[in-house]
Amino acid sequence: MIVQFKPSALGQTRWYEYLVRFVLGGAMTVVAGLIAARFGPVIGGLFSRLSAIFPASATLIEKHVRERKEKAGLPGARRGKEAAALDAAGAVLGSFGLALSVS
Amino acid sequence: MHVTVFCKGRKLMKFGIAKIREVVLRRSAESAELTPQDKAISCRMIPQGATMLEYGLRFLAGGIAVSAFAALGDSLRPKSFAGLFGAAPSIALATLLITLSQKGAPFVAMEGRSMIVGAFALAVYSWTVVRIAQEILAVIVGRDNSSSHCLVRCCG
Repeated sequence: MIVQFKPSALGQTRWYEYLVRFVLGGAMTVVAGLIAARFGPVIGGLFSRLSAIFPASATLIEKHVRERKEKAGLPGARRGKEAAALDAAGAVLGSFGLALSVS
Repeated sequence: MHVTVFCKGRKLMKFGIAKIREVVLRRSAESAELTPQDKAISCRMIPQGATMLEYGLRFLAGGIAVSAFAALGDSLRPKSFAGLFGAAPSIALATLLITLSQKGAPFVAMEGRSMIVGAFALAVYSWTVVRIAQEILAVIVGRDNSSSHCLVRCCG
């Protein structure tokens, strides 16, 4: 597997999508802090591990890949879902990696 | 056992153990010049402004961390590698220093242990998403194949 860094892919994301990610990420951080303050560190730690990135990323990846295919005149639903599934598979590995690193 | 609450060096109140639930304590117990039956717990009166500032900082730090990791994931290929950053602990990282300064190391350590359980829960959730996406893909592929079969028969 060859890992590539493509900064041009950042241009595909619209400004309001960045804003939504920022606001949602900040809101989830505040909520996690409130839960930790109210219910203690055990419950707070569970909610601190919320992934604010993955749900938004999976839907955005599916949308961008589908739009790219549809621009080329091809049906993009299948490729979009494949890309989202690959992203989710990476998130599974990332979760295990995090569990090992925290322990 | 009785509990005595001090604030800014002044004795505020003294009550039995049953009332502890009603009191919000922000510092761990410290020893003081009291009888063996008493435990002194010092509290810090936190003004409203400081609390709002703390949550404002959490909002900013969380937003920046989530946006940064998401942008990094968007620009990496292949997508299976980029997905690693989707599971990044952006919220935890953003609030770690704030929590450490506010609540102390033991609190953060307990949160860290809970994060391990949360990480496994996220792994299960992500695996479920993969399975559901594969099921939907199987339906789409099946539908595409059947429509192409019909096309071949009609043109036949």
